Amino acid sequence: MSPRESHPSAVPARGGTDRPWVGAFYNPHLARETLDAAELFDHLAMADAPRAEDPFFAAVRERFVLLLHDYLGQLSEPYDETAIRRSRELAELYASPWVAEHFQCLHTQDGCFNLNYVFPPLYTEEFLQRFIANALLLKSRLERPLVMENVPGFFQVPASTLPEPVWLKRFFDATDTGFLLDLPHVWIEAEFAHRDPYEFLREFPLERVVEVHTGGVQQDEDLKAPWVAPTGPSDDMLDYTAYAVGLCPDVRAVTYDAFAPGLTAEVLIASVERVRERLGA
Amino acid sequence: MPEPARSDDRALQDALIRLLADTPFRDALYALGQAELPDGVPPEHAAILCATDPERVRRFARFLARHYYYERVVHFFRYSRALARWTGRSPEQVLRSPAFDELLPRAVLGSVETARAVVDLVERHLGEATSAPPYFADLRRYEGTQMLLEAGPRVWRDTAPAPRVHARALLVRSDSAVVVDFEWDLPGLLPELRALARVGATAPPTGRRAPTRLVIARSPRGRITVLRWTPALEPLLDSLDGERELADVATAAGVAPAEIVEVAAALVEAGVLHVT
Repeated sequence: MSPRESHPSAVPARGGTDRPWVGAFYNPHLARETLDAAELFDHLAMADAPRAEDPFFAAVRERFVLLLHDYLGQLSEPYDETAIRRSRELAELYASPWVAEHFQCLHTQDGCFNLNYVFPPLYTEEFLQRFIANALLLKSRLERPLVMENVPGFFQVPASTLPEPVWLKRFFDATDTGFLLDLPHVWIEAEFAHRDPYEFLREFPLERVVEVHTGGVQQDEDLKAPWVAPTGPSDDMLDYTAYAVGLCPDVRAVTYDAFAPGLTAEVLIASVERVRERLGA
Repeated sequence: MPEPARSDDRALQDALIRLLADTPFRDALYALGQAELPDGVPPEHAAILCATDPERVRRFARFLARHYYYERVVHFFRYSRALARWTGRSPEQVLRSPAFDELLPRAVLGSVETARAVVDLVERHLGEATSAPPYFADLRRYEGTQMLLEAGPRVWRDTAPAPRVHARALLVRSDSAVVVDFEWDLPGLLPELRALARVGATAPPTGRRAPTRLVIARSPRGRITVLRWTPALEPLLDSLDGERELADVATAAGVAPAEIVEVAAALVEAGVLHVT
């Protein structure tokens, strides 16, 4: 692939229109309802590989654009051959137009400790160079575009020496990968830092955005602070989403980000309808 | 602000991950500070860890612990969960119980000890159901065994070539494989339990009472595989003692070596056997 073809913004918009796709995550327990409301979903993001016994996956694969959004590895280290093979196989199964990975480092090198949830790397020069080198390696093996999602930090680590938006911009400039902008993540980080979320958002490299995640935010009892939750997006979040989409010239997809066994069909359908309505899609 | 370690940020990240995952380590670090370092933490890293906000770190660790075990309980106890409308008990309810909160001050995410404590809580909670199908105890044991087996360190990344299984290979049963006996034919029941979510069943499946022996194994990467203990599998696993070559075992069992190599390779990948 040429460098241009390997960038997600080269993926044609659905139906040749300029509007971004609107979709959600594939929640297998809601497969029937998702198929029944198929006209609402341009795409589905796949957080887990389909189970062999999933009776709906064949129809889902036939009906929707599928985006690979599984846990594949962490780019603090190079992917090993097993992870690369798995990434390629899943991307091929889904015919995914791009492959998503996270800016995260959540398990120790010796395999003894694992957080099993988004946790950002230290924003340092050393980690930046690790992520750049490993993303370039991965990109060369995927044979399809790579997009990277921002993840929030809940507490400050004094060893981080670069602001997150600067670190991300340098990463994207060096790798020419796409940006999967998770808006609830930016929103809650702004709240933790007592920043205006709109002002904070504009610091990120929005010209690199290919996909936007939107979703619910709720007060969490353990954190005693807001966190992303499988609830519908608030009116404020929908306004924020519309604002962000307007600032992202190459955005191709907007995804309602909720993947949880407790998610109900009513919340899923209503949320996608409201995203569509707010974006005029 | 302490001067960050410049040459080993990855090791510092490991220490941060442990700070969140390992409660006794975290408590020791914040209590002792840099005066007496918990095992294996260089002073420059301890200084950075101590400079984080303990209250926010503790809150995030608590949040992560609940999330970590929610994912596992919902995954491994999914069949018990499918029966909740008859038992009146969802396995994940324990994660919002005082008993789970009491466990948090000792929790080490991913450890066998914490997994055992969580499995015990879930089994006790489900075991108190007053209305449950007769195979429910077997099912809980089947699910709990898998969750327990999944715990412990795992290989996330491996650049060494996979161990090659050939006719002269020496193989032995892995510690991460267990043989469990059940009173009910669980493999025959599971498809019916999976279907409960999508069909409007008015009663749980009846199941079939039949002694069933299963091998439950964990691969080095943490993947769980369940196999029926078959008459063909039994002599194979019993004969592989790490001293007899695979070809000799095949000859003794009257099986073609090529066939046994293929079977053994699949069992190695599943974590039932390992190459010595």
